[in-house]
Amino acid sequence: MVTAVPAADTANAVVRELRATRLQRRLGDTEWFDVAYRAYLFALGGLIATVVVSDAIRSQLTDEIDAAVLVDRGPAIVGLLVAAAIAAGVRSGADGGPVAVEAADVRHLLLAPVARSTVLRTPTAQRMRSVAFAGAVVGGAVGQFVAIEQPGSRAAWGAAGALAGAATGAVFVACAVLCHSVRLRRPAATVTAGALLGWQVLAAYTAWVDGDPQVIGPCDTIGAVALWGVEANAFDALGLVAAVALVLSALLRCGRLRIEALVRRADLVSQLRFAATTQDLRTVVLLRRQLRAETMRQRPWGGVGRRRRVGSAAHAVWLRGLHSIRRFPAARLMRIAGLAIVGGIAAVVAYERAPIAVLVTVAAAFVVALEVLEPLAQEIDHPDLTDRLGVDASWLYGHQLVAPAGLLAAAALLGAAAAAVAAPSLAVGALALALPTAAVGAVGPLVATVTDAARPAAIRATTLTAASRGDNELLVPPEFAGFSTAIRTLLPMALSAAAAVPVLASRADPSVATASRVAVGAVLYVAAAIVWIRRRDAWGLAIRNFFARGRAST
Amino acid sequence: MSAIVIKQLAKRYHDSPALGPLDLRVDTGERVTLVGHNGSGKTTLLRMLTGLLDATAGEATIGGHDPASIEARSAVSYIADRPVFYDDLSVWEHVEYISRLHGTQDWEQRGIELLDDIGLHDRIDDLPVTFSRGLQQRAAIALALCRPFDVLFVDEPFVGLDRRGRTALLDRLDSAHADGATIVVATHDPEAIGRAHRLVVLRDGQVIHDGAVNGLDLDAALDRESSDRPASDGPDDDENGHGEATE
Repeated sequence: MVTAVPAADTANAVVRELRATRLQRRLGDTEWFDVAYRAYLFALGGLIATVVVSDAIRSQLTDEIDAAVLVDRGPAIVGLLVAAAIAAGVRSGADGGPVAVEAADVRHLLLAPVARSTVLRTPTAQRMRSVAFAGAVVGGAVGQFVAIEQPGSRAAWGAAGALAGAATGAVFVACAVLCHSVRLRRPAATVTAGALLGWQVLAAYTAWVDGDPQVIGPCDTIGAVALWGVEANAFDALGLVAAVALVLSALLRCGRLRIEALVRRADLVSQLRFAATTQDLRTVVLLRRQLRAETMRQRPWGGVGRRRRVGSAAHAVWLRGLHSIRRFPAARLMRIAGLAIVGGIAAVVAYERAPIAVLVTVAAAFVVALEVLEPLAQEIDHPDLTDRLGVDASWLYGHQLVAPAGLLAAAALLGAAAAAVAAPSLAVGALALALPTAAVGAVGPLVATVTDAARPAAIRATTLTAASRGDNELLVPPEFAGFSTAIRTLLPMALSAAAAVPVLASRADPSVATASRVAVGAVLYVAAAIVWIRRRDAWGLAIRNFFARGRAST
Repeated sequence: MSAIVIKQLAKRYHDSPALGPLDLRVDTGERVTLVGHNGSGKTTLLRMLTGLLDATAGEATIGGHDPASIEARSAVSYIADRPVFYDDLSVWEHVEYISRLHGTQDWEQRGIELLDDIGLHDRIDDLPVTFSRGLQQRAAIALALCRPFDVLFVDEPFVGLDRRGRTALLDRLDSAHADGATIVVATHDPEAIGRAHRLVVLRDGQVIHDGAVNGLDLDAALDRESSDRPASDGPDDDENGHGEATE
């Protein structure tokens, strides 16, 4: 080799100079009015969320929890969130996360003779900073709410919550970076994360059931920091010391991140941000899977079948859905199972103690439905293929629900089984409510998925007033454009929120009659969604024709 | 003296083999052309040699160093199949940045000559992300050649280039080779193949021919012996360069 390695100081100085130049340029190009408008919207949304959550938490704490209970049980239970963050970080690290750099940085900087730690420390620190800040905001806000009902100053509760939240966010990123840098493989990461989470669950369970924790959880100390608003213990600072040590280790080792993973994430992360900005749920789901390098199985579960099958067209569509589900990777099936179990246990907590826990059940049902609807989503993602099939698209979409419904039912039964284990006395009720809850929770993702489907040209190209949709959209003021985007984003969640009804209704009136009414209501709700899928194009055309006739007659 | 040594190098994506295991040795100053159908492993091999991809098994060295080492990175330059640029830097700012990162002494003079040769002298203050595919390819070539290197890897360099661009690139490769650089080009271009000393033909991740260019019926070599393994387009053609199926 004759090419000399450039001096480290020189190369580092060039990197710093370039970053400073680009930062100046970005700041110069920033639309400050736009930034101010976003900040205004964020503050408004935050205020509304604060009021809603404040009310919800107030009723929980008043009835159930006092300061002594918080101090006894709180560390292990808050520690559960910390353990979940660490477990998520361990898995993220094994999947190649959590740092993403620009594709150009990968090509020009990481292949240049510059220490990779110099290049990667800044994005790693930025990631830590942003996640820790988000954790601090959430923790601080929750601390404020708790201070309403508990002894201790609001400032102390807020600061303690913010500190615990920031530590949780920082250790999430730090653990991910460390696991990535030591090339931890996925199975090992899953076992490590599961063991940590299981240990903390045990600690939280004993704390919850006995009131006096029999098991000390690995994340109790950081959990206890969140309660410094009522009682501070110097021993708990050990958790913070450990968090700082993890962060420093991650910053020292960030130069060992895998370039292959950074290459893969470089393009995907920018696409993901764009999709999230445009509230494109399906694209976000797909990109998240690609970020985790989660691909369909080459060999389906149960092996490749070559039998010649006969049957109706509907049968063929159901089989196509089944083929898709049989190629789900193990990680996705595990995720579905895990969410079903979490949703079932959260329903028990909501039924017996804290109704707000039903939000976890709803969220779990929503995400499970996003996963199981893959065959339908694939059909909608490829309209060119669907068009060539020579069948009505709405008929096809309706029949593509059969295979996902089977998997959804299995997940619901798993959730019911988990609920029955957590509270054996509620086993029958859990079994009765599981299917309606899962089915209603799936309506939001179903609507979000089908909304992305291609519409007939007559509907796609024009508005109700027969104006060209492109021209019309140009005339829509930003306020209305923002409103329609918000509706598009919130509608699926609002539709799935009805999944809380079965649990809350049974809590209010635990009887067979209530369970029956819930089941009938769920059937009608889901049937309405299916009718909408089957008829929406026909309705769209009929409405346009109605307006057209009106215009013709005037 | 070997510039590149590859021993039992292999790459798999999940269950799908993408490359090898293969052995290869390229001497200093050699000019090698890599040929193969789509999915044969050319891009995967070049990306592993530049350190962009990890090996599943085996090892490769550049001048005796690991491809990810700082010594190898200072010695290797790479023209990728897809040009990548910063959104907010002009061609000249890219040249300045990359030249200085590599400790190039006379980078301004060298940069001006190069951009003139490549045909970008009147676009040096423009953003390359706004260029057509052909102009982007020229800019990528300029960025790879504006810095000192001992080994040059080039992946499908003629995509989008017009006649003048092709000629300029081939001349530049000749010039770099005359200066003693080791050059490995993955291409299907007959003119580039004709200028190489040595031809390595890949199929399904395996070397099926390694030798002189003259006298070889390339089409026959590529089509000989149908593979038992289904061809995978992923590793070479995937957008993200990781050869995994996108949904």
